Amino acid sequence: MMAILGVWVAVGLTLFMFSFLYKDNPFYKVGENLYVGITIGYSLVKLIFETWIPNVWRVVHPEAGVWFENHEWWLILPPLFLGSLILTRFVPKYAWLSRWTFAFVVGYGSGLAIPAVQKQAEATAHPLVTHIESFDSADKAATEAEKKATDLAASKGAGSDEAIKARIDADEYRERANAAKARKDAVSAAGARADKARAAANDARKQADEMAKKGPADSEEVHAAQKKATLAERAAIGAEMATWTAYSKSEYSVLTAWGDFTTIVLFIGVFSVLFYFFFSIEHKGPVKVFSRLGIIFLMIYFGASYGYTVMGRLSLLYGRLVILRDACYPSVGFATPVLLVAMITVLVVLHFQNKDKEENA
Amino acid sequence: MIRVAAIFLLTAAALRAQSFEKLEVLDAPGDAGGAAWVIWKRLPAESDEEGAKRITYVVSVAKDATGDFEEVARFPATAKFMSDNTEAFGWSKKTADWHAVKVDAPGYEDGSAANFPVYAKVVALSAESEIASGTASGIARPNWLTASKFNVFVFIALLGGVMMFLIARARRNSEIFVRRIPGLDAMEEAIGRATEMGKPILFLNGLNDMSSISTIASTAILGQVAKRVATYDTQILVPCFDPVVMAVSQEVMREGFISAGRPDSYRPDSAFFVTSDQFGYVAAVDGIMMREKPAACFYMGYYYAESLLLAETGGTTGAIQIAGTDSVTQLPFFIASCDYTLLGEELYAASAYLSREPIQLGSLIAQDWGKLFVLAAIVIGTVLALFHVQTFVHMVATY
Repeated sequence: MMAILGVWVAVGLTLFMFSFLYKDNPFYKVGENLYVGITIGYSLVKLIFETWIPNVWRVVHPEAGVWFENHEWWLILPPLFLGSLILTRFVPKYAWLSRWTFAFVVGYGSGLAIPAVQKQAEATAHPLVTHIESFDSADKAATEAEKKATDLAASKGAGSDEAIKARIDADEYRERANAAKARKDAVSAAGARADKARAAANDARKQADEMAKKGPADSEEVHAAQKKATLAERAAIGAEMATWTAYSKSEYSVLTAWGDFTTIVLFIGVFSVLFYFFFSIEHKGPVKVFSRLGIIFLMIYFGASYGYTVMGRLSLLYGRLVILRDACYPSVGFATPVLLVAMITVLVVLHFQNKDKEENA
Repeated sequence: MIRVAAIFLLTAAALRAQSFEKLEVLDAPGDAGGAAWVIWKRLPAESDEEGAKRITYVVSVAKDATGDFEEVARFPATAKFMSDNTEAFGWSKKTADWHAVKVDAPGYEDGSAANFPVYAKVVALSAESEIASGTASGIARPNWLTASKFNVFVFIALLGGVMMFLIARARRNSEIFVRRIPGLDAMEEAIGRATEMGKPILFLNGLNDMSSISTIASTAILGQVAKRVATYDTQILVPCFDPVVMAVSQEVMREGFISAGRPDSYRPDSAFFVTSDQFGYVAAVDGIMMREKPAACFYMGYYYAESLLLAETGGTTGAIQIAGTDSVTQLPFFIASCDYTLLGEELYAASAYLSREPIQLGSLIAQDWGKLFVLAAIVIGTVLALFHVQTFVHMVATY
């Protein structure tokens, strides 16, 4: 019974809020005031039980001995003091004291915002062009550095500063060569996996085709074989793409170039958008060109963001409509149609009543 | 299989021939004293990745040298390096050669302020052998300062200095150029329109609390709007989402009315609290719009999913609408449904633009300097990154 009542309330309030699409009306006013009242009451209770009681009441209450044993109990005093100052707003003569609290809140908010500026610089500063060292050149450089280190150790002694420095450099070159080799090996391994996956896919497809030729084409066995072949082909495509990815990390390729292109576009975007937001210089000449470019970047972003968000909103609307549809059945007493008809009737009556009043006035 | 066996045997043999070098316990910087770092140099057997995979480190700590050592970390030698923790150790190529494990100081409890000794031992295990380090010790101390945030301090100090200088300059010469912002020029027009029509102005501060920069900027704009409202003797409505924002709005409006020479016209109930629930607030504000039919709606501050609900309802009442927000996800909706929109930083510039006060103009120019710093940092960082020099980027990194 309570569940059905809950459905009626949910459907009713949804329809009340949707009635705003017609115009401001008593149903909407009921929904609006209920919404505001309930949320204020809920926030107040939450504030009392989640903030006031655990953080203040249990500290100042005489029975709160446990809290006083904690030697940091006094930490409650500054926020309590600042919070209490807001209450001075009820006494006009001392209302100015509440500004201290506001100044504190505004001050820490401003301070926290500043590091965000540095984060932008940190996030944008990337190499515009990817440099991928091939194994051959890295190995050659490492071998030369190792030879130099060995020669220096022989001529000036292994403990000399120059020999130690040469050894550290040689280790670094060797590490880079090892990394290049690992990348090269990864390409070979991925390639082998892709070949194997492609061969398996071809076999599976061949087998499925043969089965289709031999027996009835729409039998379950044929469908299963075709499904298996499709899955194997998908796996082969995935393995081939993984080979491409590994290759693009090992050698400069189309994928690497695409990555560099997006990095350069990002760099120009950040640069030009920042130019748009310069207020103390006139936007003319090259600055105008850059700021125009900046606003183009912004508008492209806003367009994409708009579309993306609208898609999300439509899914919310869809969810709400599903609730209304599900409440159309006898199990919940035809909540949606009954309430909809009742609301429309009342709104039509109100419309004519108001019309009469307007005409009489 | 043979290769794996060879690596296995070589690692075991190599491990037997090695010993720990430079095991140290360091105080964890910038904390309340409850943690320490145990660091040691990678063993030579780890130079090969396959070899490193065969080694497992076990870290144990105790509160005194003869006490019971409790295991606190167990991990493969391919993980946990100093270079993974640039906040604590800074950035240097050498940090990749050191393992680092953060451990809780034994005996420390939240709120205790004393210095805590930490004794640590590390054991390197492979399948066939193990080597144990000696015992290293250090003290976990509470720290007054967080060194990793020093660059932020320098940046704030520099920006503060530049701001002071520019404010002083603006006081001497108030004829400072600020480029035209059409949305702000239209504010005067919107208030004038409301006066002519005898209808109120609706001003919203957004849905964030008073610590948000956009709310701070919106209340500053409200001060300027209130001044003009007082001058034209127009009605203004400011429904608030947050009680503190309401109180601040009342204060800035009072100031605005006083500076316009009309303190008697100020009505504290012009700014009122509605609710702190997002859609409850929207429902109420939409209702106010439909009943009061404001001639102008200002949406300043930070908004979430409610932006379009507000602006569309405002649009149906025929009000002139000006929005200003730094919420990048909501800007498209305001652009689509409002007459004018202040984009991001234009919101922060608005108060200075409208008031032309030296202090605000000086800080506006300082913001431009800040952006110049970011631009320079991006260009320098990018150019250096091209040559694999990451030092500069690490210098501006924030934690």
